[in-house]
Amino acid sequence: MFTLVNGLTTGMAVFLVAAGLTLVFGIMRILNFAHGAFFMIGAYVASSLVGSAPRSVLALVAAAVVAALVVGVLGIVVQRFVLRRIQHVDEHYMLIATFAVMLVCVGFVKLVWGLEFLSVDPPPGIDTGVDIFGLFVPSFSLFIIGSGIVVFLVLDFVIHRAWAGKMITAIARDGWMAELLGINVPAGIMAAVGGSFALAGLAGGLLLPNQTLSPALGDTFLLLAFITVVIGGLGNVRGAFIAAILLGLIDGLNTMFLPAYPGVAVYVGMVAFLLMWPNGILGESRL
Amino acid sequence: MNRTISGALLAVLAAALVLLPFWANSGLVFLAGTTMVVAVFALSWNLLFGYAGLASFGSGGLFSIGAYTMAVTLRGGYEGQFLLLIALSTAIGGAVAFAIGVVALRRSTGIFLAILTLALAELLRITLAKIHWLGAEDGIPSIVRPKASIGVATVDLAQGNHYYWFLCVACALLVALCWWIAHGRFGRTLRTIRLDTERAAFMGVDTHRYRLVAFTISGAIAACAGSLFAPWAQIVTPDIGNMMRSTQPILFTLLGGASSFWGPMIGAFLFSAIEFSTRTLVGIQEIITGGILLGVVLLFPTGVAGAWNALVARLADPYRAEAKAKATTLRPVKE
Amino acid sequence: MIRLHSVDKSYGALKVLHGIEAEILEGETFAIIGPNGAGKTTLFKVMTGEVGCEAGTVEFLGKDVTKEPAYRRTRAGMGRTFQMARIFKEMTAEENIVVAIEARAKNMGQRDTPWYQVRPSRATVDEAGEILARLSLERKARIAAAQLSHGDKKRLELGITLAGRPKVLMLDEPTAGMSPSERVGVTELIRSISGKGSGLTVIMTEHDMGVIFGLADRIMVMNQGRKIAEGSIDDIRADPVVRDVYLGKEAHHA
Repeated sequence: MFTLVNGLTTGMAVFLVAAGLTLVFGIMRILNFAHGAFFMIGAYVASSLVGSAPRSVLALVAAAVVAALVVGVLGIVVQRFVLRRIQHVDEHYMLIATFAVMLVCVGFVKLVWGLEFLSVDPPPGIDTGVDIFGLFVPSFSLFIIGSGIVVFLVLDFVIHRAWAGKMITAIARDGWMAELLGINVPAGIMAAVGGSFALAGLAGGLLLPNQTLSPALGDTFLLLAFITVVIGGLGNVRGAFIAAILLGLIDGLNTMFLPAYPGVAVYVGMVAFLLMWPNGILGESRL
Repeated sequence: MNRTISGALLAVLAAALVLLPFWANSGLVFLAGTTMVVAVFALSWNLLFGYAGLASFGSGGLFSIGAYTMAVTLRGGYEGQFLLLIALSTAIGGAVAFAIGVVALRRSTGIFLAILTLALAELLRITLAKIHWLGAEDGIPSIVRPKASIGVATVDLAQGNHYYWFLCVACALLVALCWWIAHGRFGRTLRTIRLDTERAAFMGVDTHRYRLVAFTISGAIAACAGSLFAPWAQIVTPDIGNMMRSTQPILFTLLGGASSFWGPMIGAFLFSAIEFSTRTLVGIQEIITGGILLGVVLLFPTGVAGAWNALVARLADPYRAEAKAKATTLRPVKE
Repeated sequence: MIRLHSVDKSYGALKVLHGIEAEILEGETFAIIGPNGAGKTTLFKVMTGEVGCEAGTVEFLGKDVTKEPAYRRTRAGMGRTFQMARIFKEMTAEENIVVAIEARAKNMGQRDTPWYQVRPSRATVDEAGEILARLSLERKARIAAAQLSHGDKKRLELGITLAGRPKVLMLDEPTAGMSPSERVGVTELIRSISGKGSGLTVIMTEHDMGVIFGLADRIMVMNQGRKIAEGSIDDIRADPVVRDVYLGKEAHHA
């Protein structure tokens, strides 16, 4: 049970980061190396707003939203000046270009916030634990699990039900046709990419507590998010959600049975998975 | 004309490297030695990317395997057989790459191969960090620089700058080996596979087998570079094969130019120069490095070597230069 | 030479080949024609091994090659070109031919270059020169393949295929996208390569009837994934089913 909660927490944390990553791929066919770095910027921005001890849950969420806005705007800038230009080149060059963006982001963070590690406590209200059926569960874990599920439900609704999602899907499938139908394609893509980056910023803000902030923060989450996105099927949000839960559970079991080797099972599972299903659980999706 | 200029430049650079210890301080000498090793490392990567069209994002893992093999065997007291140890590290690297290639290349190329190799390298890194026999997170420190004996002559590499010159010779040999592989029949066939895999298959080329061999050779040379690096740095830690290490050859190659054999080496030396001159500026270093890389990808997709070739060729023969430039520009992916 | 036995092929839910039966005889020039989407190119791909088939067998030189990958069929003597000429664009015209000769030489166990030698051997370069001369490309040998005109690219691709010394030459729309004068040139070229004395078997798909009537010994007509007729040019001209497909029912009755 404890393993389950822990696993779900990890899984949802990873999903929060992976959601934006998979969306950018779905829209632009670009696997964005810089995504982890934007997540990190989100975390730093939020930490500057709330300090090391946020006053309330609301303050934390508000800071996360501000971080989302900041990173979303940054994302639009990056889309405008970098991603758009590399959309039609060899995929290897895309990876390099986004890697370069990541380096710039890391440099920027070092420049603004320095090299020292920062840490933030959970705000009052979710800093203790709750008793569920005689089991002590840290309420911050519940907060993360809840955030993950909310973000997933909202995204799923927007993509599959709402008009905005249908428009973006049309653009991703056939930009030329969408333009013919009178959709403003560049604006649509910009909004969608901005939104995807904003998700990275939001994740950074929400996951802030209990996190050690350092310029290397992006790397840790980036790899796990990559794994999730690939296993879930590139561009597929539902797949990413399922994959994130799986990954969290595998990691939870890993911690329970092999505490001396944290993280090993995730990579072993990932390698095995890729070899068996190179197209992911639900297959690749253009959104 | 192009060849003469480039050749002369290469000779000057090589001479400068060999004579470096006579005028530069030890910090610069160390940097130069490191750069030589990573330049060879980058060359091995481009053998895979520029010639076989496969991008590995986990080459750092193979570098790490070479370095650890060397560190462990030297610690075990086998320093008498230094050259054999290099051969052993190379062979282990090749064997591991072969095993990965057999399983991975059958199914995945492109992004999937990239992610798969990335995950494998990361798996190796976190495993190394947990093995106490290998020093866990602290790695293996104070590695000795051994004696190397070739037939009758024995050189004590621990003395002064001897190991630096040994690196010069070893790296030159490896570069020559790579050059020979890339320019011979094997390299030509690999290029056809990168340019059009299906067309190559319809010439009767077993493309899967060629890619596997290229993957193995590339891995062996990466491990060899790692094995040379261990006694040079005198310490190995799990981070020797981290993500930054794996991306190093990619950056060098792209900066220098993937379509040119010398591209990765040019990139390695340029990168080191940038890093050296910005070493005191925290944060600015990454911004400059990233900015330059971004500029290169967006503006000069053929890299520095491509731009150089185009420049020299234009001076020599304007008509052909244009044809060549067009032939090597970034090709958009259709379909 | 090649025998197809009840070949079925689907792409997902779409069935593109229905029980194709065909036999191509040694030394003949065999043309596959039919309207767009009839399955000509797919049949071509099944024969060369570019795609597999769900049912049926492909025999080549009396051997079942249904499960053999493309490169093995190429080694056994199939040589093909593509609808859109596929050449190695970053290499010069000469290099394109050289790599093809080297691939063949290796497959046939001919090694005339010492292992340490980097440059292609004299014999290889000479042979490449001969092939380029046959294609009238000798003056463009040093030009990057990407710079060649459309017609020259198709010639160069034919050269790559010929360098493999195939027993059967398979041409997928050899004159697609060419001007009428280029077409005449290519038709002449194919005729000179596959002339009666050469013993070379040729299988081609083609839209241009002039090219087909000028070259083919036998023709197979396909429509909607099925073979609807097979025979000499005169047989096909007289075939009522073919008239239906090409001219429409009304035209036939009128």
